[in-house]
Amino acid sequence: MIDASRLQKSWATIAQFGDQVPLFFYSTLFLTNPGTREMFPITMSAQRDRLVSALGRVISQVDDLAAVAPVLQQLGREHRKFGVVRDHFPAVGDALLSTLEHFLGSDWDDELARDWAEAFGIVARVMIEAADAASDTPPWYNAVVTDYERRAPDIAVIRVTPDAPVPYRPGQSVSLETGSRPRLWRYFSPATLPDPDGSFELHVRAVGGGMVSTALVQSTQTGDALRLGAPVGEDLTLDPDSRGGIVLIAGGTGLAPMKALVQQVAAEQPPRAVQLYWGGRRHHDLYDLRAMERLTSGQSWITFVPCVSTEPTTGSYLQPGTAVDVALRHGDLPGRDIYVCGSPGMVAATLSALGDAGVETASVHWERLGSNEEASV
Amino acid sequence: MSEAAGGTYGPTWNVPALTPERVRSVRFSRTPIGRRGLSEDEVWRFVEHMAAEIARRDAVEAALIATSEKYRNALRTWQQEQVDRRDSVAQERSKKRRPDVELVNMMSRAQQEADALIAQTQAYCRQLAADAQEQADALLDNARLRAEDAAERAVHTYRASAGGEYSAATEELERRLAWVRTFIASLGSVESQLSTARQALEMEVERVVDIAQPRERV
Repeated sequence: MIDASRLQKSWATIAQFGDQVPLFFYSTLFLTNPGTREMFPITMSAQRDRLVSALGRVISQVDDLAAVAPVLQQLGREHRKFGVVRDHFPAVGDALLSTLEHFLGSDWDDELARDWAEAFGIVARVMIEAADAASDTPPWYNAVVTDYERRAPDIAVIRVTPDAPVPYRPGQSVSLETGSRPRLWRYFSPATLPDPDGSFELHVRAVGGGMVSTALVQSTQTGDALRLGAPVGEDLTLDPDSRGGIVLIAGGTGLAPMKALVQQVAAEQPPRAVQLYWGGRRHHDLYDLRAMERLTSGQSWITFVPCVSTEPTTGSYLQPGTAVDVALRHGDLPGRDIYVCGSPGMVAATLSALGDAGVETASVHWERLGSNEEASV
Repeated sequence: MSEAAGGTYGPTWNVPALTPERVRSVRFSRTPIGRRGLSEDEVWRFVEHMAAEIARRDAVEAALIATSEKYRNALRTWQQEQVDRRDSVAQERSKKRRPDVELVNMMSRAQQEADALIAQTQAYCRQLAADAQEQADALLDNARLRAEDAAERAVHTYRASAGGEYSAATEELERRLAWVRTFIASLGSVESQLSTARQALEMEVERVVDIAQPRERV
């Protein structure tokens, strides 16, 4: 039986050392098993934060591991794309115990070592079982860029064709690795339903300093090879049993999952009512206006409202203001399910504006994985 | 014969251990009436035979004990060697599992330096992108201002020259035409400038990112 309070106490002691702890852990892991270094990007700062927060989460609920099981299972499934999961666990466990021993000093004893080893064993088992259970789907899909269009200085629309159908649902995300930025995986949300050949569209905005998004926008060519991870995320998917109207509020390339949702609703018989507010700072931020007009014109079930917040909109049908401003001004929000997607700043501002307005909504959905642009795996 | 020999010892004959000497020294009681007992020669021959047999078996036993002792020692030595070897393997493994703390710290420092360099280049890229964005915004705003200016002037000119031909629709047309012409002209003059700047910027960003993330899979 694991002594949960003792484990948590030792973790609290460890946590005081901050970044030193994951640093020591990864250095130990790489020194004892040099092969594992290949699985990580050059820069490790984000990786270290992730490790510590994941560990902290597990340890804080170590007496009720069923509560963290879904998180661990997701981790296990996602790690399949990094190679064989099972083989690396002993090395990771050894490095973890070695790290704990180093920082706990005289507080470390055989009993605590046993507890930590047992807790780690449970975590490893849950992750490995989830990885094994997912083995009927490939750990990743090889894909090729079959179309590339630069729509704005910082925005590209890319069509990718995977070697096998990627079983995503509209609103989900897939992680992506480009051949030019190996081992850096970022989430992107398919912007269309898959074509018969399995291909779908991705909308990418180059985030300042972003390694993957800048490469995708600036130096992608037709024929480039990519790898795609298994689809994840349930925050922006539609409730299949609900027929209620929905309100979509998108900023910039946050349009991507919304466009896929609109295509999904269009196939419903009859389609549920949709209001789509899509905002950009300037006119050229609305990089997919023509396609969206084609998709929505003449459809009575959808109201499509493009918005521009920092340029005058006189003489055009575009609405002035941010997407949420316009939605609050013109929209029929009470009682609706609201979906929000955009940059982290846009999502935060939208949520707080909705809160301030005190709209009685059914519920507000937004992607908790992070933004669809530079979120990390 | 053996039955006869066994029978004559009697139940009271107490044998601590049957050594060859003991067998030889055994004396049998004589029958009371003359020579009707066992043949003495036969008894002595049997006793002699038995002593020899026991001596032979003692020797075999001693040899077996010596051999088994030898094997037991060999086994013990082998087992000890195994334990020693396992210990040293475990030590070796745990040494491998627990690298020297200084080595670990050295590795950590190298990683931190790499992280810092990459963070610096990323910040630089972000700055470049933000500057470019700002400049582009300024250029656009400027073009729009000039276009609006030109549109006002066009309206002015039209009103001055139209006289009785004046119509509000034509005025609006003149306004829009001047606006679009000026806007396009302003953008055109900066377009080549912009695209050169953009290319230079992209090369710079590529260079910086390549430093941060060498393409080892070329």
